[in-house]
Amino acid sequence: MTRLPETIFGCFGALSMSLFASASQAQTQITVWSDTARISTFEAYDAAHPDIDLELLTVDKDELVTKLQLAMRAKADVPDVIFMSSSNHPAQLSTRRTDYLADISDVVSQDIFDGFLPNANSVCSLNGGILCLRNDVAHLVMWYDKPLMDELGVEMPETWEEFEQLGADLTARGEGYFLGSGVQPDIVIGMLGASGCEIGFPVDGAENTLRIDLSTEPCLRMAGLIDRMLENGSLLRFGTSEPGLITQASAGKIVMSIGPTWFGEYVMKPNYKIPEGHLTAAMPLRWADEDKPVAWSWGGGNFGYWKETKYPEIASDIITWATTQEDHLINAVTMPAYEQPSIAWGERVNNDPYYATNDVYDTMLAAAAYSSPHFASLGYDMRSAFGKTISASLSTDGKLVDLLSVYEKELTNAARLAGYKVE
Amino acid sequence: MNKTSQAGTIQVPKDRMKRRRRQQRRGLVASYLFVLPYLCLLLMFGVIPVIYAFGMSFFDTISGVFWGITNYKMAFQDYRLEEAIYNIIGFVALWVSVTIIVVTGLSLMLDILSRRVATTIRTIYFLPGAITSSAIVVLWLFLVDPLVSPFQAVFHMFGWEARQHVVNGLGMVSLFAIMSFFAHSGGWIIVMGGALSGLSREVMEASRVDGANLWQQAVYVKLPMIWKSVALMGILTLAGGLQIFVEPQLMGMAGPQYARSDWSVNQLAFQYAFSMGDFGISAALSTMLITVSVTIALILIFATKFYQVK
Repeated sequence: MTRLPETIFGCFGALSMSLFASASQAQTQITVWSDTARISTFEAYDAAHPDIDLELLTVDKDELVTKLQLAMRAKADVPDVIFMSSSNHPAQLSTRRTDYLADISDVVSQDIFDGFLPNANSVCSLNGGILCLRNDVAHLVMWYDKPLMDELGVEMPETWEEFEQLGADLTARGEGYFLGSGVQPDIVIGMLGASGCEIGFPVDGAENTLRIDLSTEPCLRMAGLIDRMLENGSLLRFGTSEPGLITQASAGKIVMSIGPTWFGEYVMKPNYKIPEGHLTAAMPLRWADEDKPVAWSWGGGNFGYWKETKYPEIASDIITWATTQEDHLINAVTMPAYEQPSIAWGERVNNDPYYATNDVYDTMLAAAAYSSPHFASLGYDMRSAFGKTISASLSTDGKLVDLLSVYEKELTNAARLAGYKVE
Repeated sequence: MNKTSQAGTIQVPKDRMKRRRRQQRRGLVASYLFVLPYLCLLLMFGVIPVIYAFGMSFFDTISGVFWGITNYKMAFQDYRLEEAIYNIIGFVALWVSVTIIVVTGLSLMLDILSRRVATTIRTIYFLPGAITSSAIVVLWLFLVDPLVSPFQAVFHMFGWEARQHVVNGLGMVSLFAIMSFFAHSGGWIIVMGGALSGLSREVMEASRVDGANLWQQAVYVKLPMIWKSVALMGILTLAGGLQIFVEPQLMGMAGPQYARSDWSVNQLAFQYAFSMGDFGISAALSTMLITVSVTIALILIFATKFYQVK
């Protein structure tokens, strides 16, 4: 009799232990840090893989590096897989000080790498290794108001020279038409980069070495163009999200704007209030003496995983799945970087009645072929250096040509501080 | 001779002396017990972290190797440090002097008004201070944009048409000083109000009978009597000002062209720790910052004879 309670306890104990054991055998726990937009991707993976249990945590874009630093320093709760919203995260998370990202160049098969859009993984290629897979591509294309251009009787430019001429013609009418922002850091940097201006190009084969030279002809040529267009008012001295530009754009005065693949859907449609049937995309511009355009990028996220994770196979499977699976990417918020699901996703964009033509995605896909291989992940922020040295002056009455040398100095200092050799 | 005779004159019975001493000791123990919880917190969240950071500033925190003053050297080699130091010197000089002059002046003027009116106005002054400083920054980003600001007319007078013009025109130093002034001065006006209401009525009465007008009362009677509160305000404002962080850090919310992630020394320390992952250099910068703050505070405390009781 006295033994009964013990027996009961024993039974329960055995039962619960076996349950626990089977549960832990069945499911591998993987910790994932994601932004809000990518949660659905990870949930889809979780649902498709009953043997894996993803523990999801939403981390703000600006806090990712901070939180990761703390977790790694505390040696606790370091996530196995992360989504990186910024193109600079891969570089920031693979330094001597913060050595988080695993090199996947020998883990992920070559077929997968080959399936990405051209240069999509340029931000993931650092010092000979590949540290992440690109989720979405965000190269700059030309967004324009088609009915407005027809009404004005003007053609979509193909070269920078035509772009400048169009700006001059339109402003000469004095009706307030303009061609976008001439001071938005991402756009100006994009224009300089597309022109071949070495604003921080990684040197092939040399570890942590950058080329920063803003005194060359490609820089001066583009800066001169921007200055002239700011001077005559065809590019505004307001950023893309500043009230000054938004007011004029909402008044129907914006004819076109350089913008990344997500610019139409997430900036021009909601902020500039471009009505349905107006907006469409065109190829990025080139110089008249060059035979093809170059597209710089603005944004795009990446998946990577911890080099010390206990489950590297699962982690690499997650990031491969997340970037290549058509079923969930077809509903992605931005243009997938992997070609095949990207095309499936593009069907939706092409058929979107909001756009004036049904080839918006085709244009973005064609433009992807010209993505710059120099668009890299860097350990410092090119944009804040721009804000520090250029914005104040350029937004009032300054000339970009005069500011390039200060910007070059700031970029060089910032690069050296972040541990780069500058050529 | 003298000593012994003096001791002899006291002639307190031994047991009474003992009792008094015991009472005194008990009082002392009680007062220590009262401050103990605070001392514990101070130790845990104030003193120990400072010692920890001080120790860490001499280590390579990545591989845990002692490397002397290398972190300090690297911090000094940072090309942004000099500018950040100038920035905070300018900011502190402006903010502290404006706070002292304006808050003291306003408080003395409010003291003339009837109590009810003064209380109402003080509460209104305090309102902006009730908003956290991060929210104040966001608010200010709108206030300095001529397109949406209620101060449009003022900005247009200077020919400022865009937010960037206003930011350029004012300069970051003045902009942050204005933001901080409105965020913090309301609280100090209330503190000063408290100090002024504590002044003895007889003294005020006497000065009035002696023929002092309102100005003379304020400057020659009230001001010397609330001098310590003014000094306290100066010391705390200065200590807070040296650590400026939120205002420049949040400027980026207005767009990348306004982002100043390296404007102040505190921001540099933050950046080293949390975006570059070098806690050693961060600790070195923080140690230098706290050394400067404590030194200046001590100088002020001794110069104003802050703890001297009359």
